[in-house]
Amino acid sequence: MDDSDTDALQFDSLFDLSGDLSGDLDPPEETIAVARPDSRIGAVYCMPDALHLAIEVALTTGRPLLLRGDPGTGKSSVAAFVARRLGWRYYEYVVTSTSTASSLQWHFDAVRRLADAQVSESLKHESEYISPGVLWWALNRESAIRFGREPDREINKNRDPHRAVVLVDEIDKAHPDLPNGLLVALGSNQLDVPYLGDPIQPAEGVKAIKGLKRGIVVAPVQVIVTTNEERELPAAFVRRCITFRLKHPTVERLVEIARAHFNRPRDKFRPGDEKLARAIAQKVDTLRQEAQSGEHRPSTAEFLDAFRACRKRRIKPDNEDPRWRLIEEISLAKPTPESQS
Amino acid sequence: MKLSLVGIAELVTATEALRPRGEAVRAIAKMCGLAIPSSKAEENLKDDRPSRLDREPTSDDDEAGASDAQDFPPTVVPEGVRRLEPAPRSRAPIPTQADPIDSSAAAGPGFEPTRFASLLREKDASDVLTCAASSSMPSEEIDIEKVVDSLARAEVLTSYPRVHRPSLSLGAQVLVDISESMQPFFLDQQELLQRLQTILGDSAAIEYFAGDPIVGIGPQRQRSKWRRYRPPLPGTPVITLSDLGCGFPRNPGATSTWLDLARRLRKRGSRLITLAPVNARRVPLSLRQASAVVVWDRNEGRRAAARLLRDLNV
Repeated sequence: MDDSDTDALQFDSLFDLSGDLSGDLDPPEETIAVARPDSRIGAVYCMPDALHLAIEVALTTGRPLLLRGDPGTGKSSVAAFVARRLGWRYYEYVVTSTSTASSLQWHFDAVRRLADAQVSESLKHESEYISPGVLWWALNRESAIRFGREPDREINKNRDPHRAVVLVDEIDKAHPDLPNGLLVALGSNQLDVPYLGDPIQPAEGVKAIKGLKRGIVVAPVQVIVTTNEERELPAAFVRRCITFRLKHPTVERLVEIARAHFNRPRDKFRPGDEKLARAIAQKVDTLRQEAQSGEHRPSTAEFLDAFRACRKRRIKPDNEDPRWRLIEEISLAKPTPESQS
Repeated sequence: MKLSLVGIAELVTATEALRPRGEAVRAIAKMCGLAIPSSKAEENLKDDRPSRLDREPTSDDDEAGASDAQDFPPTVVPEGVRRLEPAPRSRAPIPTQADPIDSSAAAGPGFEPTRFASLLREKDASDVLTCAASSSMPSEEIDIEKVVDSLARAEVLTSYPRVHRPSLSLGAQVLVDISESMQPFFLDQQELLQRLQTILGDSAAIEYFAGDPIVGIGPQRQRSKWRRYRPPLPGTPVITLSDLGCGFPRNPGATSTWLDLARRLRKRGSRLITLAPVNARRVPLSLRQASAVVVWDRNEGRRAAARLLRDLNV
């Protein structure tokens, strides 16, 4: 399933994931959202109908949502937006080639324990050397807080203490053992941590979500996994996920995305901005179509960078203007040394 | 796509909760994996270019089959099992009315020149090359298992053992075969070299040779400057883009040369990795055991990368 398959999908939506939240931002957060394009505040997301449906399917089935798509199509931004919209806590883990399944669950500081063991008086119980990973924080914050400092405390301070969204970013960077090692934890919502007697589970007595129809149960943790598909994921893992592919948006959609990002209460998106966004979007579209194999194809994130720069500096996409040619080169075309020569 | 009970349960749960109408039902089924093909299958569907190795067998193949008979014993068919006759192959008709190389006839409206498509998929090529150019190096991470093991034996630790990880820091020696049998793959070689230089930068030492690297290696267009082969620093991987003398025409004497080179490199702690644009059956088993031979073909990319990484033992 991808975001170009259908225009309007009809279903009884359980959660309101539409629109942007820029109006709800506190002034400092608004500043961050504009100044730091990759901040995980989750302020704005232009949600296609099909992606909205995929998120609701994942929430109601309790399965992880696996987002596929090229870099820069907005996969990683979905989780922060959903967390903010639902009022759930938000945690993220960016996978690297050295990540293991336990990196997301817990970490045992064996070197600190070894150092303490040299001085016999300071050696503590094994559990004192454990620190929680993002899945532990998401499943049971109350138990995790006894073992370490909560990540993203500022973002999470006023959110639901019993529910969370976890972003596992770029899972394809890891060895295939990582997704396989997560199957049990994601399927059972339970972690086994060494040196702790009981498994980590969601806290008891979590209140049902208000306004939901009777009989609909929503799991307290929603995991959103992203992949750039540099490596094929194990079939057993994909089978346990709800899958969705994000595609590069059309010119009209790019303009809509620019409007959602830059229409703020104190800085409105004006007709001139729309004209500028459309011109840059058309340029992005042309560059993508003309790119040969191996050449760079600008993404949505790069479109927003170019728009941000042009809007701030009052530059129009005019090939006669050297400032525009520079912006096009450094933020959209990004030629490699080979293509320049 | 196989039907999965997991997917059906999800479809039922989501349908009950969200009451989808029309197109939304199909969309949910796809998200639950009940109708959508996997990304791999999608790519295979898009990739309509046949493998270059899937061509009609020639007399050379028969010769190769005969010479490799010692490596591959004939299949024994159990009693009672009936062999099926091979399906008849259809040959594409050759157009007779137009000159196939007359560009003026082809350059009509809607004419598009054929684009070069490399032997490996774009995504796989970088993966294969990164794995091929990697060597096992100690990382900053302490190998806890070894530390605990040593302490359990009451051994004195004089230094912390480190976890070994794949690393590109040693670079790689790249040997490019420009013998007659490799000429059809010249563009593939150049494309791969570009990728390697992107991955390794200046630490890719590229040398050219014709059939036998021991006889002489050097710059591509200056044979007068070719010199005898010198191995790289110990541990540095050696990547060759060659058919190892197993292409068309076959060079029977090449196998012993490559076996000798593989042995010499192994003694110095270096891996020999060959990207060979030939069917694996044409490469003698002894050579495949002595070095890592990657079939340079789009059906092999992902498996080859995983195998190369596994061989590193990290």
